[in-house]
Amino acid sequence: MNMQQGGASGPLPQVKIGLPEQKMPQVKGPQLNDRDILNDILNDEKNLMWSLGTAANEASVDSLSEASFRALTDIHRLQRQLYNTMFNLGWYSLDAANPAVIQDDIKVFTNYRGQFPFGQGTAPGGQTLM
Amino acid sequence: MQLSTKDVTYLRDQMSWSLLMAKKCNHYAQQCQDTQLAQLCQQVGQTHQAHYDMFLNQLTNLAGQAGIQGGGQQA
Repeated sequence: MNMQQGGASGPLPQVKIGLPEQKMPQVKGPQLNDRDILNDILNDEKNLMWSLGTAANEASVDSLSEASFRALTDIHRLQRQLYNTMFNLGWYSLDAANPAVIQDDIKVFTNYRGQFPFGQGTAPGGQTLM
Repeated sequence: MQLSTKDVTYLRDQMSWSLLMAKKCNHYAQQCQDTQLAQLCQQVGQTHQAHYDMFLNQLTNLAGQAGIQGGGQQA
């Protein structure tokens, strides 16, 4: 992935994260093509995720919310799988973040650690206390 | 365990969504030109079908605990 050095003021719109399109959808017309199909399924999974999240929160019985959690975990994994498949086919293209902006964020949020109310227990990038 | 009306409504919805997704993914698997993508659709559909049974089992088991007899399926 090519990264260009730039000012810290904004994104670099010309830097893309993505792969060249492997397979053009075969049908380009009013019919659904493979890309439409995967997009539709991914969209359904996203909507289901919200509905299941609400169901999990509002269940009055633990075993019911646990069932929703299990379905949710599956749905999160399916979404990843669908996304990765589409990305690998070159159907997704993202703008790369400006590295200077990332460096600034690291600095700013490292400084914010000084506001921690519970002491400096973990080093940045260190193990969690769970 | 006493199920609330909301619990039952959600279970009904969840089973309906799962069945719809299973059917839809099966339909899409047949429409897909690419065999790998067709397999992915199939896999997604099978996951939703398994969720249907999981929710139906929940309903059956919780009804059983509440002493409600029904024509539920075996686990």
